[in-house]
Amino acid sequence: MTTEAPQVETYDSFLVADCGSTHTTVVLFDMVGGAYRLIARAAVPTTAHGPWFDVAQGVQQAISRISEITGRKLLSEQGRLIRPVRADGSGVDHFAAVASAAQPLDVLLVGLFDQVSITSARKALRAIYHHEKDHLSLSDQRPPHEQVGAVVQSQPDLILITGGTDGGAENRLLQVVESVGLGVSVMSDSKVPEVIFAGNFRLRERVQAMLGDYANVQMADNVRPSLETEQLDDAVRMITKLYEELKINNLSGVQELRDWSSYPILPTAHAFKGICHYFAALQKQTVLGVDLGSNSVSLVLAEPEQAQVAIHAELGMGYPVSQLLNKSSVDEVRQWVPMEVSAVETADFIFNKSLHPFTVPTTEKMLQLEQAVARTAIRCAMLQTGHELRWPILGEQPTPPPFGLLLARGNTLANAPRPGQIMLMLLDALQPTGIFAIALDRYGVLPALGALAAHQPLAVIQTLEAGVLSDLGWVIAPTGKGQLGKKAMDISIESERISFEGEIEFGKIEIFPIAPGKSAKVTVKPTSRFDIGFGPGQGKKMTLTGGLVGGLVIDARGRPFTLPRDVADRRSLMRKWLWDMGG
Amino acid sequence: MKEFYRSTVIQTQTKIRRARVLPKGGEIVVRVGQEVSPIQVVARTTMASDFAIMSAAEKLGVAPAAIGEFLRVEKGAAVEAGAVLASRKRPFGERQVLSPVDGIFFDVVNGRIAVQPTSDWLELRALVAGRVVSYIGNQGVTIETSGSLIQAAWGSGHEGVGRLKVVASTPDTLLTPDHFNGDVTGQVLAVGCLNSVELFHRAEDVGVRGLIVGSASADVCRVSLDSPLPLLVTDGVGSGGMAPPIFELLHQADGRSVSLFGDYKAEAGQRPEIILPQAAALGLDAATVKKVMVPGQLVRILSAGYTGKVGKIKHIYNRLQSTPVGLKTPGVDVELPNGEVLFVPVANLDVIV
Repeated sequence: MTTEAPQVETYDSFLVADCGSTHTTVVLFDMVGGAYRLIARAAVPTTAHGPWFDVAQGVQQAISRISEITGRKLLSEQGRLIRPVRADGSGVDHFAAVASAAQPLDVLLVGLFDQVSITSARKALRAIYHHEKDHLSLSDQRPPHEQVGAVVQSQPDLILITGGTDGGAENRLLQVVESVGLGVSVMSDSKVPEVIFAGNFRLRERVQAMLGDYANVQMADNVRPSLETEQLDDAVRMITKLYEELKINNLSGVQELRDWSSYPILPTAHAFKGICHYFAALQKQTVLGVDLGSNSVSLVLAEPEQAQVAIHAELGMGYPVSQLLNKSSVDEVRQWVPMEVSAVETADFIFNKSLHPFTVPTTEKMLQLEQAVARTAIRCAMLQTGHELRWPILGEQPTPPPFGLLLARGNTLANAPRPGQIMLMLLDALQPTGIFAIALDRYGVLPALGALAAHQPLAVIQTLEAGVLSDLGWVIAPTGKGQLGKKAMDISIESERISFEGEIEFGKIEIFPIAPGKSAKVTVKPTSRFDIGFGPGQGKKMTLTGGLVGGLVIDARGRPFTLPRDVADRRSLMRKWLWDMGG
Repeated sequence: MKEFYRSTVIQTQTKIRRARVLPKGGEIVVRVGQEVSPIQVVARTTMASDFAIMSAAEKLGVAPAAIGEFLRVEKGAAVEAGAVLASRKRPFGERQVLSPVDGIFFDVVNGRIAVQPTSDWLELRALVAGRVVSYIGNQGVTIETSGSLIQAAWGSGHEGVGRLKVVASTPDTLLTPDHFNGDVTGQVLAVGCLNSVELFHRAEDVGVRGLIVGSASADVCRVSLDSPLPLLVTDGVGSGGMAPPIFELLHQADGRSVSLFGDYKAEAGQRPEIILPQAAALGLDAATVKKVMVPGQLVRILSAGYTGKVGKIKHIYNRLQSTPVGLKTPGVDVELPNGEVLFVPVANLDVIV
């Protein structure tokens, strides 16, 4: 008779590092009481750049911090990660990492028409952290020798060539490619650029012949096989692979992290996209993700079936913030500050933030300036993404498509002292519409969970269920315009804390408290001028669960809303909104 | 609390090695071991950005692939303006493609000939007096010198060298028109604050070689990006002035040669630098950055209201502390020279090495 040994169920532990451009965050997940939990988190300055030039040092320091917090030894005396877990409980089973600390890919865009192939190429490039150094197209008025100069001066890591429908005109694109050829032949002394050709497939051999001696040429599916069709997947896949190879894998010190890691190191925005998609699939609704980083702003629109990320490496709260004034203006930033602040102070603040991106505000004015900059950066990213992805137009500007959940992250948002400030920043910047919940990645763990989602779904779902996100609350934001002070909608709310029935006036923000975790029955009926997502004047009955801010926010400022021109009136209104939101 | 920290190097008598690199491969014109002056050319290359391009195949009426048999010069050959680059005999005469410039027959791509003008040389100067210690491929050299090194906060992207003239009496002195009285041509001026675009242009007009300021307004910084006059800001944007240790070091070096390394890549964590070479025995190696913050360290404050103030760490908190705006953050107490002690978040500190 044989006796089978009892099956011992084993659970793995995970350590995930998020190497951002200013901060490196490491989180430890392990099983507690039969379910995965976030055990500890530590954030330290990123050490990818000077004076350290070794991204692993920051990760090691954050891991040491976790060891101090938990008492669990994770690094050997030589500073190497102990893997897997040992009998004495030291070490961890798996390590994973995501990174946004690498420098963006410098890209030269080549195409025929700005409104067709160049537009598609730009959409494809939004999948990675990149800087567009220059672009050549038929609208380029520069003579050929200047175009050659432009190729050389841009010193691109990648030349993305698009243009021509499959089987369409050939000569005009080849003329532009000639200038590229001359440029890269000069560059090849110092740098061999990568070329991805994603244009008319009949030109592949000729492009290879013209550029192959001086550059590494790869062929992708045409991004515009016909004028009516756009197919970006193949180009996006190749661009992403190149970014990982050229930038992430060349990050100083990254080899050590790769040696520890059980999985490939993902770009942070892709891991964030992954977790947004995970939420969308799980909850069967559209999710909008906003990552306000130091060196980029990323927006994710995730449906249950697919997700898309738009990375804006030209925006961010750190080094790129000085370029914000190229896309916006000092006055556009100042308009969000509820106190007196001069144009000079605002511009100086923005430049200094660029020089010292890690600094934190210590006065109310600096805090409000920082949050004003955050609003402007998110809004710029939203408008740009909206134009590129053809989001719905409200007034004359794009607006995010309707969604059910807004996932927000980034140090400026997570470090805001009061939740109402976070909500107001997001509502002001995005001006979203409909009925949706907002959750904040206060601990900076979403990319880590995104990195694990594909490999360890149980760990991800159980960690999320344990409440690592801060539910800020629900928002009802109708589209439409009315007269200030006139009724925009009727509302009734029944909950443990409150029983309310009344009107909401146009132009106001109202908050109705719902205790965290408790539910409330809400009925909303907008007037015929307003639409909460079901058609003008159409109401909705729903049951909502309370969040941190106070449950339900009715943002009846209309979409898009405009701020008063009079400075005193505007500041007064901003103060009132901030006050109403508990900020 | 163990904490990596941001730091600024302000050092005297330091051994300094700096790479001088061309944007592309070229010719190194100095040898290892050679002493160089700041304005000495150490490497050069042809400017690649301004080709003369001629549609040769089209002009000769031949297919691009057939152009080879009509070329009259070889790739890489030097050509003079007017030289015949390609020609084709026709029944009623000869068609010719002539070089419009003196240059090098660079390449033929798809029937078009590119000539690179030889007059366009990009010359890389040493920028700092010192000794060449190594080659960097065919792109540049490493130069070693000794002297003082100051890491600045911001630079306009341009380099320069000249004689240092400190025109301020205090670290927070504002640059005024009076400071241009006397001989400032060819000098690098150092002053506490610069917040006038007009005065920046005045400095350009009178032939100043460079500006070192503690702080400059955002307007001045923006304008300087389009000017060849190098501007280096040691502390920050605004009107905070210059950190006293930097001001004192510059004062001591008044009248000496100063090199402004203002071409840097901020995204890669690089900083602009001010180097004050001193002909003395080679100093100590540049200080390495310690990993642990300790009481007594000299720090510069980056918080509003105290920007640029320098003091010493008096106490390091082991727990997170609340700031006046309600943020919880790691921090330290800093004692200023006047005895005032204030709490500063670690994120708002810059350790002076």
